Order: sequence, then structure tokens, then C-alpha cells
Amino acid sequence: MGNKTDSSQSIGQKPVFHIALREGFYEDEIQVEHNGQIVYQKNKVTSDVRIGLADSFEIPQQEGPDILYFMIPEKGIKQRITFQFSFTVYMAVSYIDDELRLTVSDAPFGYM
Amino acid sequence: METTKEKLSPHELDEFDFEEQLDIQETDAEYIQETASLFPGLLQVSGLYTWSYKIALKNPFPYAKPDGLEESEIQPIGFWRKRKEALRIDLDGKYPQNTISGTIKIGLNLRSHWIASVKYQGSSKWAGTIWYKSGHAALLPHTGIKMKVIRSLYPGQRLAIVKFGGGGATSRTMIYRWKSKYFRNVQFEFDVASGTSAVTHIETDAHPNRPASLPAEKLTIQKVFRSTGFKVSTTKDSSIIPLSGSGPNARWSDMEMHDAMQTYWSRFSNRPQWSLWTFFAGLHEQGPSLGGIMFDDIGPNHRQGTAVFNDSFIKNPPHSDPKPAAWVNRMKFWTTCHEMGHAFNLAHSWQKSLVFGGKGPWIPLDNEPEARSFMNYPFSVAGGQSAFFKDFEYRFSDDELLFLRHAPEQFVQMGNADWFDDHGFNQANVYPEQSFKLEARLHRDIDHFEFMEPVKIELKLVNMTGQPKLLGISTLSDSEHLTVIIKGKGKPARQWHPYTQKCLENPLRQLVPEEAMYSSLRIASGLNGWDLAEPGVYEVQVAINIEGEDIISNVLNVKIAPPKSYEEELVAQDFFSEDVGRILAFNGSMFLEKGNDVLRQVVDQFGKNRVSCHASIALNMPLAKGYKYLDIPEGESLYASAQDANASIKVAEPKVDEARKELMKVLISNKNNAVDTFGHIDYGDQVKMLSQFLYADGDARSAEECMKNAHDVLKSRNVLDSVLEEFQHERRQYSENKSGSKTATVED
Ligand SMILES: [Zn+2]
Repeated sequence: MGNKTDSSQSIGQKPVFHIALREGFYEDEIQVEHNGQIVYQKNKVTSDVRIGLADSFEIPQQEGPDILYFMIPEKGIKQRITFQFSFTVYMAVSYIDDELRLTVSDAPFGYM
Repeated sequence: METTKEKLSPHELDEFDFEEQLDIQETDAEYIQETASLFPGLLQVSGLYTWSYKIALKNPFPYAKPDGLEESEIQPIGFWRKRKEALRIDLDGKYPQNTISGTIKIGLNLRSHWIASVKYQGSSKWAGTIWYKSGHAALLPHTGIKMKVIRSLYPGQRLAIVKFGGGGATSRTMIYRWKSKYFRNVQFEFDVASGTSAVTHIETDAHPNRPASLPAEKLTIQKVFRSTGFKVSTTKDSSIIPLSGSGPNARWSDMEMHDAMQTYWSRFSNRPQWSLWTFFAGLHEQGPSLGGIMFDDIGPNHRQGTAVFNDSFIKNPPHSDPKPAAWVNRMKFWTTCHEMGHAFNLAHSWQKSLVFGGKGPWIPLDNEPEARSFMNYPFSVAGGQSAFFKDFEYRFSDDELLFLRHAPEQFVQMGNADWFDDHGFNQANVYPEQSFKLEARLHRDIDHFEFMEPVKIELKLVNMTGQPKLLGISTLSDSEHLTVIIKGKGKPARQWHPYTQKCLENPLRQLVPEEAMYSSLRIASGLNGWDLAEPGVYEVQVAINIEGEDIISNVLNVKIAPPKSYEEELVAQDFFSEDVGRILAFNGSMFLEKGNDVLRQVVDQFGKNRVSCHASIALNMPLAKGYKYLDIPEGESLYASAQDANASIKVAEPKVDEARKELMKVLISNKNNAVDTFGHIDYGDQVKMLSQFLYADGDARSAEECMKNAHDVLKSRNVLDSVLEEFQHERRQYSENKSGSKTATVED
């Protein structure tokens, strides 16, 4: 399982994407691409059902639109999302009923 | 509490006329019904009722010996063994579930658990159907119940008269005596980390956003769990736990909390017990985003400890909340009950139907994403936390109450079933008369497995419907529909998860009435590791779902003998590994070299032990048949595509002579030993495979000889004629083609 990071810490003062991989992952290989760069790649990502979270990470937002690809190669999933924000965004990604579902918020998510 | 036998012997119970008894009591019951409103609490029906009876060893079943039970299955306690029954009636009081459940225990090892939904029939009578059963089905063959309760202001006079019927069995009437208004007992301990505090009660009217009907009261955690049906006690010796336990960063990891639990919890014990440790601390190492966690999925006994983090996000009230301090207090109280709910094996409201890593709900459940329950996230419902608390009554949902009050004890009790694992069979779909009979069995001369000898069992499924049935040919090997539970003595049960979820093509075959199909399962190891490795006695039970009906097997006893020498113990440390488990499961591997080295050591050192047969087969089968592999030229990247890397598919050279000698030695020269350790089905399959590659290599005579040997040894063990005929048929084919030429040795 991936290391979970502290959602309260942002990279510098610049707006970031805080991405939480939440429910429905079981020993999955997950890749995330941001504007053409692989920014996250882990094997065996597994949701911790006690808190409904598998892993989380942050990436800095860039000038202009941000294009994100979420990929689970083994499941044939490749999903594109385009954003243009100027503030920190919290994004939760779950794999439910054979598809990725996204929740976006301007406030951090909590788990228990 | 032996109460009933004072009034009625078991023989009298058999003849006891349910209706007659009801009539006798009618006047009293009506009277009590009328007075119920004057004494509502005292006349509540819900609660725990019990019955027990000591059975003399000489005549263990004086009233009726349940079918399918051997007397030897019952362990004596001294010179007596006790039959005890508990009945949980859940028909009034707080959030009644219109449910009656029961547990039957005989001696140390026979258990049966049942749950019925009932409807009120008037005059203190209820009736309904039993929709859930687990354990020794023979203890309760019935499918329906009728109940009459005798209410009384005096606890000693409260009775529940229950008649069990249906299922083709003789009806049985039992009289249970009231014991407690609670279904189960539990004990809590609350400890706090130095510098923080515990919120264990709130004033329900402290925050204005609440249901209008919510009574204003001081609500304690104990009271919350009392209203779910638990008699709660709390240990007095709460500890202040020094921050040094959390390491230098003052944030707690799961392991640090587990250590603190073992050190500071006055009741800690590594065994299942109705006792729970709740710890209040500042922050988890994950940071302020984690409000609390049931940290104990560590070690053999899960769910004994849970934690709440007071300095996490739960201390931050929403902007412009009218009563921020009350909001925070409520949030901390809520989080504590939530985490404690996890310790009772409750999943989140939106995960109720989730099957995860082979673990899932105890009965089919629907997700409850909008539930106003302790197990939902308040900020995840439509309208957010304010909509949640507006309707929240400080309760668990009905499905959760059903689980807490009525699920088999081992699913709920702390330290018992693994977290998220009901570890029992989902028997919601048990039909009174099963369409198929499933038998789990061993075919062996000796009644135990040697140390390291991989445990295999055989399954037999018989069509009992009286009609021809169409079944997939891989019905008995398809792990999607098959559940195997392994339980070591004194240990929580484990579900066997095979290395591959076979996605076989599953063409149909017809099974005429009384006809059976068979399969063999190698259950020694799987994704959970080696569940059947340590010496001891195990119970194995198998369930299979056919057209929505759950077919449950007998409980099969499996014994594993201790090691015979220190050397065996030493090798076992390497043997019980994932590599070796996989090699044995897949009949060999060319790639798991480390595991193959262990198997070679086993063959060299312990040639006389049965495990060496398995090791030899796994080492030699791949050599015998040739292997396809992807050949990537040196210097090319492993991560390039096969085409980019100029890779090609190559076939390993078969080493038939070497393999043939070893396989013949195991399967033919020592055939009796081989049949015992592999079982009839696998032994037959392996000899067929050996014959095929002998024939392919041009040695039809040896192929024929192998089939003859297999035929003879299986015949001496009374294997079905139809199976023997298969061996005869193949033998004839080899005999007619003795000049068989060399053919390809590569198999797809
Ligand atoms: Zn939770």
C-alpha cells in the first residue's frame, strides 16, 4: 500500500491538486499523468476499507489548463480530466462499478 | 442456568403440545397485555432467554439424536456434556428488528446459529421463517418457528415457548427462560494520551441543529451501545499514556497504538473477548485528515482497539456555526462511536455490499449512502454534515442493529473474525430441502496429513432433485461460486483464497438424479498464505452457490502431524513460502527458482516423506512437457514492448528422460502412497498426463503400463466403474498405437 501523505501540507504557496485515491482499489497498478508527465505511478494500490482511502498525493497546478490522465492499465481504464483553477483543489478518485468516479472540493477531505 | 428440566424433562418436551399450552396461558397473557401500558419497561419481551440441559455420556441424545451427527463428534466435559441454547428476542424496546435468533451449543465443539424474521399473530404470539443458519445444520433442521411469550412483572416467571417446525423434521418445542434485557455483554476501557482528553458524553440539546424529536439528555457512549442491545460495563482503571509511546514526532502509527494497547489496556489478551480498548490521542501519523481509526488489523486477533484523534480535522467547526464548541464536542463523540462501531466489525454505510480481497458482508446487504448512522460520514450525505445532523438520532441503522444483535457471535466479537471478514457462510439462501448434497472428504489410509504434506480435499456433489440438472463442468472448481472455510482449533476461521480466480470456460453437463460430480481442491495454501501448515486439528467446510441456492458441505476434520525431526522444522521455514505454495498449486514452475531449490532440498532430505511426492511432481512436470517463454535478447529493456525489444517466443527443451524416471518412481513404483497423498482425482490426472507425454515421446508401451497401474490401484479402492473405464479406454488406445511416433511435446 502506498504511503499516505498529510493533506494539510501544500507545496509552497502555489495552488496544487490534492488527489486522494479512495475506494475500490485492490492491488491495482495506477498511473497519473499531468500535462504529459507521469506524476504518480504505483503498484499494488489497495484501499484501506477502515477509512476509505488508498493513497494521496499533491501536484502543483500549472499555467493554463491542467490535463490529467488517470490510468489503471490492467483494467483498461484511461480517463482524461481537464481543469483550469487558480486555487488548491481537492480531488477524490474512486473505482466503482468498473469506472472511475471523481469528487472535487475546495476543502480538504477527512477520513475516519 | 438449568431451569427447564426442573419442570419438564426432555421427553416431556417432545410430547408437549404447543397449542394446548398456549390456551392454558391465554388468560394470563391477556391480563398482562392489558397491564402492559402501566409497566412498559418491566413487561418488555425483548431480551436474552436461555435453556440448558446436561446430557449423560451413556445416552447423549435422550430426546432425539440429530441426523448426521456422530456421537464421537461431541466432546465430553467431565462425565457430562451440556446442551445450551440462547434465544434473542428483538420485538420491542428501542429500534426492534422483528427478529428472533438463537444459538445451540453442545459440548465444546458443536454449534448452530439461526435467525428468523417474525410477524405478530396477536395474543403475545409470533410466527415466521428461519432465513439464516450456520454451524452444524443437523442441530436445527427446521425452517420455521412459532413463539408464545409469557410476560410477568417477576423476571423468574418470564418465558418464551418456541415451537420449531418444517424442513421435513419432527417439530420440537422448547421453553426458554428470560435472562436479561440485553442480548450480549461488552466491556469498554477508555485511555487517553498525555495532553489530550476523552469525550465520552454529550448533551443532546447542546447544538441547535438536531431532530426536533430528539430527547434532551446527557448521552454517554455506554448508553449508545446499551440501546443497540449490549450490557455495557466500563473498566475504572483508565490510563494516561505517555507521549513517548508515539515516538519522537508525537504522532501515532497503527503499530505504536497496538503496542500501547498491549501495555496499558488492563484487559489486553490475544484472544477473542467482548472487550474493547478506545484510545484518545492528538494526531495519527497520517496527519489532521484522519479523525480516527480502528487501528487493530494487526496480528491474529483483530478489532480489539480503536482510536480517536482530537487534534485532527474533527476539531474544526464549519465557518459561522452557531455553537462551534458544541459542534466539536458532538463530532468527537460521533467519531468515537464510529470507530467503536468498526471494532464491532461494522463497515461504512456506503461499503455494506462491498466484497474486498475476498471478504464481504455476512448477508447480502445494500449500501446505505444516505443513512443517518454512526457508520456514515456526515459530510458525505446529500446536503452535507448539517443535513446529516438535522436527522441524526445517535443510532446505528437497522441492518447494523441486526448484525450487532443477531449475527453469529464470532462475526461481531472483538478479536474474533478478521476485520471486514464475516468468515462464515452467507446462508441467507438456504432452502429447507437442498437440491444438491455436497460432501467434503479425504481418501486416505491414514487419518492425518504428515507435516508439510500439502492438504488436498475432494468434493462430491450429488443431484438430489429427482430431476436432471444442467451444471457447468467446472462448478466444483470455480472459486467464484465456491467458498472454503478453514478453522484451526482455538483460532478464528479463515477463508481459503486460491492463487487464481479461474475464469474457465464452463460448458454444461447433465447430472441425472442421484448422479454425482467430483473435484479435488488443494487448500493447503493460497493468497492468505499457508492456512493448513501448522500441526493440529482443523475443521474444513465448503459452500457452493448453485442457481442462487447455497449448498453447504459437512464439516471435515483435517489433522496435521507434528514434524518428526529438527531438520524438518528447519526446512519448513523455507517451505511454507508463497513461491513453494504457487509451485505446488500450479504443478511446477520454471521461473520460481528459489522455491524449486527448497523442493529439491525436500526431495533430497525427506525422500520417504509424502511431501517429497508433491515436490518431485512439481519439479519434474515442467521438465517433461516443455515450456513456452519470452526470450528477450541481452541488452534490451525489460520495459520495452516485446516487439521493440526483438523478443521471440521460445520453447524450453524438454528433459523427458530425467522427468520420466522421477515421475514413474513417484506415481507408479509407489502408487499406493501416491494415491493416498494426491487423492483419487489428482492421482488419476497426473498419471494421464505422464502417459500422454510418454506416448508423445514414442513410448506407447510405458504409457499403457502407466494406465494399467492406475486402473488397478484405483480399482482396489472401489473407484466408480465409469472412472475405471476411462483408464481402460486410454490404455487400449495406447496399446493399439504402440508404434506411436514422436509428436510435439509442447502443450498450450
Ligand atoms: Zn470509519
